[in-house]
Amino acid sequence: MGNFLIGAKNFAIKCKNKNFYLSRILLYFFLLCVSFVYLFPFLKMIINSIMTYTDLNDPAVTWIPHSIYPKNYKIALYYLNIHINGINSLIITLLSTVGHIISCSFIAYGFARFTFKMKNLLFAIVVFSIIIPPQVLILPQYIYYLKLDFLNTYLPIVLPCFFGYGLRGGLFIYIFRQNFLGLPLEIEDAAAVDGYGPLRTWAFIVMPNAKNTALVAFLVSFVWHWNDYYEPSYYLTFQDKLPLPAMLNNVLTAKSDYYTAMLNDTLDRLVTDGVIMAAIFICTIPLLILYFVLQRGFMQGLERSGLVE
Amino acid sequence: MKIKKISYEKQRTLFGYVFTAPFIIGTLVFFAYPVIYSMLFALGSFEGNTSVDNMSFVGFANFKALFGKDINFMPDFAKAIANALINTPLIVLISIILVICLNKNIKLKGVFRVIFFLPFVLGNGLIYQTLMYSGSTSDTMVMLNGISVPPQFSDYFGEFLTEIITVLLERFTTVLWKSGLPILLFLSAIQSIPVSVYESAHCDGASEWKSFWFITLPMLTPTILVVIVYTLVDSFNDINNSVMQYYQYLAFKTYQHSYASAMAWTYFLFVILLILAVTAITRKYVFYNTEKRS
Repeated sequence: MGNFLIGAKNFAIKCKNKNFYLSRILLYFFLLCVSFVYLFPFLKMIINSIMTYTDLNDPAVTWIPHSIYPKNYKIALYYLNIHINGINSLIITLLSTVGHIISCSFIAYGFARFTFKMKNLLFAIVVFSIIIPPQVLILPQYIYYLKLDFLNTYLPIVLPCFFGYGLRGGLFIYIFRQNFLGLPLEIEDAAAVDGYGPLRTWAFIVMPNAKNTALVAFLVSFVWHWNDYYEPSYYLTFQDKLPLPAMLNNVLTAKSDYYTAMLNDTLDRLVTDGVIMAAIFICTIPLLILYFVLQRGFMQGLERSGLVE
Repeated sequence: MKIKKISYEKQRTLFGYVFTAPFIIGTLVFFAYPVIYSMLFALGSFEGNTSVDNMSFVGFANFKALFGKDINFMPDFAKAIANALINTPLIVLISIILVICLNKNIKLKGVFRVIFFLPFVLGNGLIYQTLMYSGSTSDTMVMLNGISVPPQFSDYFGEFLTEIITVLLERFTTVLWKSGLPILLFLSAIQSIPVSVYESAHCDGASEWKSFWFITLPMLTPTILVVIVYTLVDSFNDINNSVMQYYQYLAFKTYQHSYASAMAWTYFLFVILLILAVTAITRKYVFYNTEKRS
């Protein structure tokens, strides 16, 4: 980045006139507007998650609650059953994500660099598998896994991920292929000259060069698997097998108002909107942590691309 | 030792199959059965049956009913397609603009990047549903319309203008919330453009505007194609989209599985044709860094 930034800086000094400042102000204004749209529900969620029942129903309170009420989080944790279902979620998500990265990049390399007879047909199937919505296949899939006796295990969710299927697996094949097509052929040729076969080229030359895409795919696959509740809620019926977002449903159905809770004597476990927001926030924390960990990696990812002229 | 005798071309063909072998196995094991079964559903009828296995075949009756009798299908269909076709270019455009802004040498870059990641984390699955549609007790459903028109506005500017602005703002908000993944993909693509290209352009006296048109945009075209396909598919498969809602209603509320399958397959056929058309049109403009190897 170095020289280019210095060049940009010189350029900035050169046109230190009204025009430059005006464009900067407009840029910040635009970014702030967009940030507001993104931040609004997030901030609202955090604020609502620490409000008491009275504050939530008080029309005068929108942003600043009278008091901070951390008990919402305690109740949310109780309903989410985090020590069991949180770990389930982590196992499912990590296994499927790793499966996606390995299998999809492997398959995509075949599509990007080799020509063979069935290639177009197979790629059409990839695109087809992206387009078909999961709702349509859920019933035949359920019957199929019932016959295989896969229900109530993680196999129906995790196993397809190792074969380029699973939750939008085709999309990852597509993304990887698009990236591999853009990689320069010279490094692979050099590897071939040095006696690397295609398998080793893929593992040691192509994948390190596609690190950026692999990181993005990891992040995307992780987030999607973490947030997915549709398929798990069909294949897993025991509550101690369910992932976290499916437990969010549990919190939603447990919602009650003050008087019902008083009658049922469950006031200390009263689920208000505050508790729901706390539960959502708890569900998103791992994703935010992951982003902070990965961010540095993929933001500066490919500054040293394979070819140095 | 036998491998050495095979010619280079044949070896490469062989490796093509080796690399795609997991996918072929996956297709046969996990994909073929559900797809074929759901096609059979579309041609059959469950009426009077309790088990899936003894389904009676009725041919194209379901499809006939779909176009002849159903008054809900066509309007929903048109709505879903119009929505997708309007949203996709907007999402591509806005996410490119945002990414270019983010990639500039601005203050608080890190903060903005974290904020722009939020729609991606929160923007799918049950979390999105809950956050956007259940709202809080005091202000239900303001979440999605984070920016809404104040009521005084219509007193000054009239109903018509207010409505237009409300619609525009709503569209803007939904488009922004859907551009989570496009932003991520573009950001990673723009980062992987080598800086040396920009440097040499700068030395040759290219302005920032010129280097955007002749370097950034051509280098982004493969990603643009991915984003277009993803966005189209995402809006066609969205659970809140009118056709999918109708499918959900037919299949899981009234249990007309075969009719719902027939509808879904008609819908796909159209979506597939649309996506093929889009890919065929944009393929000419996509720029790859390498010459094609035969």
